[in-house]
Amino acid sequence: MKEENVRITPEEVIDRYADMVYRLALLQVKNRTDADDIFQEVFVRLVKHIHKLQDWEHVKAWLIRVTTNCSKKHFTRYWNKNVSLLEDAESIREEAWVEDAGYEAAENGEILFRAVKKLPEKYRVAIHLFYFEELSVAQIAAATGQKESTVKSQLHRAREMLKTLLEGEIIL
Amino acid sequence: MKEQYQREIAQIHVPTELLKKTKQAMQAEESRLRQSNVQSKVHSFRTLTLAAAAVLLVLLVYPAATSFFKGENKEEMQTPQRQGVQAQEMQQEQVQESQIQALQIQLAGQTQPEIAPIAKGEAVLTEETAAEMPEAFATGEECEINGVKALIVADEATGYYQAYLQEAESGLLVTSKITDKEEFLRELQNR
Repeated sequence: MKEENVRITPEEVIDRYADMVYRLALLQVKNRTDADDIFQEVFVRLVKHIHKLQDWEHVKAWLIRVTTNCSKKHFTRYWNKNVSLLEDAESIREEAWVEDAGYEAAENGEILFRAVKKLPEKYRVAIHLFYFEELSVAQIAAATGQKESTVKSQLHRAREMLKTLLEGEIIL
Repeated sequence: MKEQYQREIAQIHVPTELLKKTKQAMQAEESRLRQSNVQSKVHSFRTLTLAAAAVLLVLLVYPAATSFFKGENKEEMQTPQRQGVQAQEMQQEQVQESQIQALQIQLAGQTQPEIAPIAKGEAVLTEETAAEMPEAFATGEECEINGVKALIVADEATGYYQAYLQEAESGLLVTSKITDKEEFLRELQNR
């Protein structure tokens, strides 16, 4: 549903979507330090572009897209600088992710969470936006700049991979 | 799965410290943008002011410079070689003006104004040589004008005085439009 077209301030946006941006960044880069950087970058960029955003739906789509792009850019930078340390860093970051986020998953929850975390990045984003942010395939396609068919395919493959990872413990 | 995933992920929140820092960074960015906007406006205003000042300067200086150079030309025209040229130009201008006036009169359907009557004392007397004395002077009054014998008579129809001067070889007929005898004699003596 399209909300009323009113002047939206950056303060309102951060109060409303701070968690969404942070979770999405954390899901992609898998460590708190990088997620913090991305979080700040996204909202500082928002200040410059807020006048172009017409409504809350537009704001949400913009935030998802910019967070995804910043995460990809961040990952590329990281890869270029630290390719030799990638494997070690990856394992450290994965361990730190849950702790840094202040997340103490229950035993059952941790299974699903860890499984999602092990998916490739593009599948993680698709699954997260579809199941947590409850975006439609069309909205995910618009927010990530992909075709709808690509998003559908990503969701299908992500479900298949999760099935395999969870070994039938959770019914999809 | 959906509900379970939502429950799990919903427990992740932005650290308060990060939120605070980010809000500060946003405020700093906002003020920086505002300042740069103001500076760009000031810059554009300065540019506009300079342009306006330049235009004003040109508007003020150009007429002054033009009049100065015209003045120099006038001074050059005052030299003797130029004076003749100037006089010719003035004559040409007068001729042109009169032609224009004539054309204007014609266009207006007006006729040329009548020539003004002769001023007093100018061509009051008309002289012509007369071989013989006209008969009208037979009854005229004799008098002497500047040592010359003259016969004076007033025309019966108009009342204008006329004179016949008996000069050495031939007579001189003087006519006038004067009806006063004393005035006619005075004019005749001043002839």
